[in-house]
Amino acid sequence: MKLMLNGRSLESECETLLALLHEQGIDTDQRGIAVAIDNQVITRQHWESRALAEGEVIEVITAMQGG
Amino acid sequence: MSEPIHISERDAAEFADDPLRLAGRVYGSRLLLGTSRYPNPQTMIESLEAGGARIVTVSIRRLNIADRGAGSVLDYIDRSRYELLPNTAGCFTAKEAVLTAQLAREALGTDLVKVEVIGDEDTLLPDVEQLLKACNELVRMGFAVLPYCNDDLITCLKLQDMGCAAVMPLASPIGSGMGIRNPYNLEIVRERITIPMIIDAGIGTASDAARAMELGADGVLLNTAVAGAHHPVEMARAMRLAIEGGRLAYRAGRIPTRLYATASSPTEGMIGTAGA
Repeated sequence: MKLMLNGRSLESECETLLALLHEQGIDTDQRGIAVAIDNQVITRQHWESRALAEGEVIEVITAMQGG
Repeated sequence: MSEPIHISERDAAEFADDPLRLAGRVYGSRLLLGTSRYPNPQTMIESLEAGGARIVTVSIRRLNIADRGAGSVLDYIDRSRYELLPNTAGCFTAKEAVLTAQLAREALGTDLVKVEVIGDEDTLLPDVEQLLKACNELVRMGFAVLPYCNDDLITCLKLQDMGCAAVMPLASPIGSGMGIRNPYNLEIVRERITIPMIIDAGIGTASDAARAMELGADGVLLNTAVAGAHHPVEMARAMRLAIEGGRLAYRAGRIPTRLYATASSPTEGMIGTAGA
C-alpha cells in the first residue's frame, strides 16, 4: 500500500505502525520520538496494534534545537 | 505531569526567598535559554551552564529517517538538570500548534509548552486569533501553556483568563536584538496581570534583559542574543548577572525620575557661606 512518511511517499506491505517503523530502521526504543497518523497522535503503547491503511499520512517527530 | 527540577544548593541559597514560580513548579533561575544557533553543541552546553538556566527550549521536527547518525539535541541535554520547554515554532495555524504540542507531550513526557503561532514570515509576529484558539484548546487538554504573544494588554488578559500558566510578550521581533521596543506596554501588562510575565524574543544584550527585569518581568527567555554573540558562554553569564541585577533593582524599588537636579551632598556647611 501507498503511505506518506515524513513528507515522502513510499510503498510498504507492513500491516502495523510498529512494523513500518522497524522497516524504516527507526529505533523504536529510543525516547524522545512521537508519531501522528493523519493528524492524530498515536501513543507509544498503540504502535504495535495500530493497523495501517492505504494513503495514510504518518509523521515521526523528535526534539531539535529551538528557541 | 513532569517532576519539578531539583534545585541545587547554590540555587537554593541564591533564590531561596525569590524563586521563579511557574506552572506549579519552582525554579532557581529566571533565565530561560534556547538551544538553537550555537556554533556547536559544546558551546551550547557551556552556555546553558554559564547562564544558570533551568528551563531550556527545544523545537519539534521530523525525525531524520534517512540519516540515522544525525544527533538529537536530547543527546546533549541532561534532563535531570534542565526542564525541557518544547515550542510550536513554525506553526501558522492553531491546528498545527495543537498537534505539535500533543506530539511534544508524547515525545518528551512534559505538559509544558511554549505556544507560538506565527502570522507573518518576515516579522514572525504572532497571529493573535490563532494563538488564542490554540491556547484555549491546549489549556482544556491539561497543558501548562506558555504563549509567545504581543506586548498587548488585552491579548495578555485573555490568555490569563483562559488559564495560561504565564504570558510571554515579545520585547521586539524574534532574533532582531532590538531590545525592548515598548517598555510602557510591558509595564501596563505587568501591573494588570497576576500570572508570571516572561519577556520572550528581541533581547539583544545584557542591559535589555536587566531592563526587562526592572520592568517587573518574572523571567526572560532568549536564544539568539547568547548563541549569536562572539563569545556565547560569556554572554550567557552576562545575561545571568543582568537578570539577577534587574530583579534585585525591581524588588528594591527604584527612585522616581525628576526633570531637575536634587543635590546628593548636604547643602548646609558649605565654605564661604554666611554662618548660622
